[in-house]
Amino acid sequence: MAGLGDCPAQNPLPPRERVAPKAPGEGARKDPGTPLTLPRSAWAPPSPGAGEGKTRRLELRLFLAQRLSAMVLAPLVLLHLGVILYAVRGGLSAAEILGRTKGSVLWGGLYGLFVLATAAHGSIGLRAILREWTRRPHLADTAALLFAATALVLGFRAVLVLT
Amino acid sequence: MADLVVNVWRGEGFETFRVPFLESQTVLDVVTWIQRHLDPTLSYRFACRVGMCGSCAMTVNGVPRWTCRTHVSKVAKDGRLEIRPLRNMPVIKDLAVDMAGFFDKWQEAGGRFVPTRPGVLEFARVDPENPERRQASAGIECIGCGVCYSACDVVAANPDYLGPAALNRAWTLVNDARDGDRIGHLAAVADDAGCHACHSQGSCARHCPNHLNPTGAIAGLKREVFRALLKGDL
Amino acid sequence: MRAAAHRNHPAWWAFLAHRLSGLALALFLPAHFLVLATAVEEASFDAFVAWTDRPLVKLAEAVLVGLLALHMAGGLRLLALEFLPWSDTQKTRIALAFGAGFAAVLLTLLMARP
Repeated sequence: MAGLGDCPAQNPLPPRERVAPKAPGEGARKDPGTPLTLPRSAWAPPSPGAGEGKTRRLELRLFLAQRLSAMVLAPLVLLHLGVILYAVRGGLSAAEILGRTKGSVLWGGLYGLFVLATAAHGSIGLRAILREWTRRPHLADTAALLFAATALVLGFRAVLVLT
Repeated sequence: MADLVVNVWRGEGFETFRVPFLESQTVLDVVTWIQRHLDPTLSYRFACRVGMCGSCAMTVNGVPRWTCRTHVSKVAKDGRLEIRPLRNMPVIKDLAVDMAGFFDKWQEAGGRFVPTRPGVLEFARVDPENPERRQASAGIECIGCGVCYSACDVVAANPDYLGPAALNRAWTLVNDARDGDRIGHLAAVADDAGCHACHSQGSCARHCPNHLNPTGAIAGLKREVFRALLKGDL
Repeated sequence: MRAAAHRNHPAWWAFLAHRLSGLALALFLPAHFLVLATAVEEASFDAFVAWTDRPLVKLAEAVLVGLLALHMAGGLRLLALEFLPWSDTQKTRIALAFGAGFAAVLLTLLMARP
């Protein structure tokens, strides 16, 4: 019967190899030796994003798209806030808005960019929220794509009508 | 002083115990008193009792804490304590959780030191004041107690997410001049359940008993992954 | 109630505010596009504006502008957190983002006064 007392007193570890400098003045630092950089596959499980049929590092790509669109949106939102505050003075009117935007390539371009960036930013954000709050990744993907399509169609229609 | 009313999670619900209130009593003292005097079947985990080993963390009145260094007088509300196991980890029994998955993620996050060269007996000369070393030093005092992981809502929503402790560990290695695989560490945390899933809610940094800042570490990883992508290293 | 005690701190509330304002803005956006284009096309824009001229709608509009300002300021805070070196002034920045939101609500209400 193997009790605790029967455990071998020592583990049969191989004797540690000590690599000493070969000669004085020729330190170990000069000897690069064999690099012990183990390949990741030797110790880490396969990357969840690297599987077949999946876009590699999809979450990282979406993260970057989200931040890039945010950087585009920040100045546009600031402009839009300014326009809102300017336009609501004394009440909104169609003539006033159209007078400003009709035939303007600048307004059309800026708001076209706005529509593109919001469609990207909103859909990625919506996907993240739905993934966490519904725990249904496919539903989240579908809803995000639907949102992007709707925002693009309605957004560009509005830009075209106004400019 | 009236007795403490202590509700302890027993797997199917809470069991209420009355424990005498003592001066300078810790939450771990209370749990131990219950096990020694009221119910020897109560399961919980501890080892050092002085905030070194990281094994006694529990959820106390809704907040994850190291119970050995948490004074009852600081956390009891109207003489009541509610003690539950840590969140986001499978419960083994009562207050003891299975931390295997938590530590597996340290490996998945590439949390293993990769030596540059074997067999070098010389010391690496590292200036303790250089910025990278300061970043690494700020994160190495982690005792692996799982408080941050338990506080994290992203882990709760996405069980694959590596979590603050593992990513904090990866950040110390990314900043370690002696480590030989910086890009490998960044590649590990850039995966789908890696650092980019963090929402910077800051609960990890808020509740870390050692006052580490995993939120800052994860932001640093995002930044370095971005830099590596720009350079074409990743 | 106690289950959420770990969330009661500024950065978590800032996260929730950013998420909910973003969600509200995303849901409002298609409606905004649709109403704007339709009203201009059918020359009913001014009639629609007249319909919105009631206190509750005006307040809702101002709150939407506030949510936009809050989401933008909070977003700038997150970009700084993720792309610039760490700063220990996070609480101040969170307060500034909420301040931007409230300021936008007040400004909109003030400017829209008849």
